[in-house]
Amino acid sequence: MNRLNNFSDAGPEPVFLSIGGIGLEIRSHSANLLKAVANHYAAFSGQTLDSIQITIHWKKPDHEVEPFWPVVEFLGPDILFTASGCRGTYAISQGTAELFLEVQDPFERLEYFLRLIVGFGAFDKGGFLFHGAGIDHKGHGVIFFGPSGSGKTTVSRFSINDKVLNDDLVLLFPSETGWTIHSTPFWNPTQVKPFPTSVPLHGMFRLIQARQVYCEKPGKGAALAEITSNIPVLCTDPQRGDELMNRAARILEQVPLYRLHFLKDDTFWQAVDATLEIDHG
Amino acid sequence: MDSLNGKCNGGFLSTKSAEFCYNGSILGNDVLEAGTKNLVFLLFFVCGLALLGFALQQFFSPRIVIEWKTASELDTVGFNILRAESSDGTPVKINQSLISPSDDPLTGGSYQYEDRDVKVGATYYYYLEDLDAQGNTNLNGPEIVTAAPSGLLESGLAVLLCIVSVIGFVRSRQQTGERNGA
Repeated sequence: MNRLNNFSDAGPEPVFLSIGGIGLEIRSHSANLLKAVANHYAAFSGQTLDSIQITIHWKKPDHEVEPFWPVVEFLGPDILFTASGCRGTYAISQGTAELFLEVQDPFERLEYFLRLIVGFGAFDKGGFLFHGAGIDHKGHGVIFFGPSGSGKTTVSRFSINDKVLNDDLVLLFPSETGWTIHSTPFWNPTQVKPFPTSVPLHGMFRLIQARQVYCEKPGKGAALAEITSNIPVLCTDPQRGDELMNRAARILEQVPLYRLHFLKDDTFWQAVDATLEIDHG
Repeated sequence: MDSLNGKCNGGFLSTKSAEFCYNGSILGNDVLEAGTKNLVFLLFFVCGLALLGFALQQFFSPRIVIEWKTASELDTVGFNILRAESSDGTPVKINQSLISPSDDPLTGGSYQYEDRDVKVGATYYYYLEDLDAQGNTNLNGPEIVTAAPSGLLESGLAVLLCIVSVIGFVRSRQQTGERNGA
């Protein structure tokens, strides 16, 4: 903590982000890096009362760096993140994190670290980070999910009249009436740019590419497995596993989950509207 | 057949009637009357000329497109393209003003630069220079490119289209004259 405080005195102005109510205070000696971070995540800038303090140390390497392959270790209450050209720690109880980067292009590693912090931050606040596309469909929150390549970005692109909260990662938090989807700023130029907002969750759809459009309801066990397997990193944490299962079971009690067989066009929305009884009148 | 009496009455005709009126149609679709047919030939001819113009412009104005991508541009203030005409030649800057960096320095960007000052058959050595905020430069390359002729296929197609439309027009006029004579 002392090091962080000393460091913050010396460095340029920090960047404050608010992601689904989770505050991040990002500091670095590199003004250029901070400027770029502020620019990239500008739509999510904002201060919260209890921000997680993140310090980034970045220097350019004098050697080739191996491709990015992240490893996350659970060290009691803390998280250790390592990959070629970087090492990060997140002391959850203290609300502080530190990332050492020695790569030419820090974006991929930095964003992965921020995702980790937001994921654990969300868990501490009663929710979780979910690997799926969240869409505000005329006030109805819908999540489309599935493994990479299943069509999350495709369905987001076919939702031109709707707000895409994020086409890959969203936050889910319980609310008084059920669950709410919150957008996250994690994206790259190949994805749909996220729209910062939140919306009540009405339905979850596991994407299956098919030749016909229809919805089917899976069994409870399969639905539970579908949800837990799409909660990044946390689903492998032995300390949080039981609670995560409880939350997944709770969300299934309140929000319908279907398998959506779809074509690569916008006809899936008719099936979704009919299934969720969304009236456009 | 009875209703036609060996003359074209205009409008859309049945297949049989059309055969009667336009024997040997170049279009192979015997539903057009002579005026419409000539108009189609004229349209083909104009299209052929337009395509020829485009192809000749391509042929006489060759270009080389240089593309590059960056993963991040945290220190970058811009780029220059340099070109040499031999492997040991001195690279010379060819862009007039500094090429602006990405709007999102964290993720970088995709770029394209068109070099129009090239000669067909000549080989060029391209370098990409990136400049950082401290005034340092970094030279990448060279990429060796030989300017290939372009527009040949388009020129051939355009000439063919013009010839076909002229032949069609002339034949159509001849047939109309023969019918009027008969």
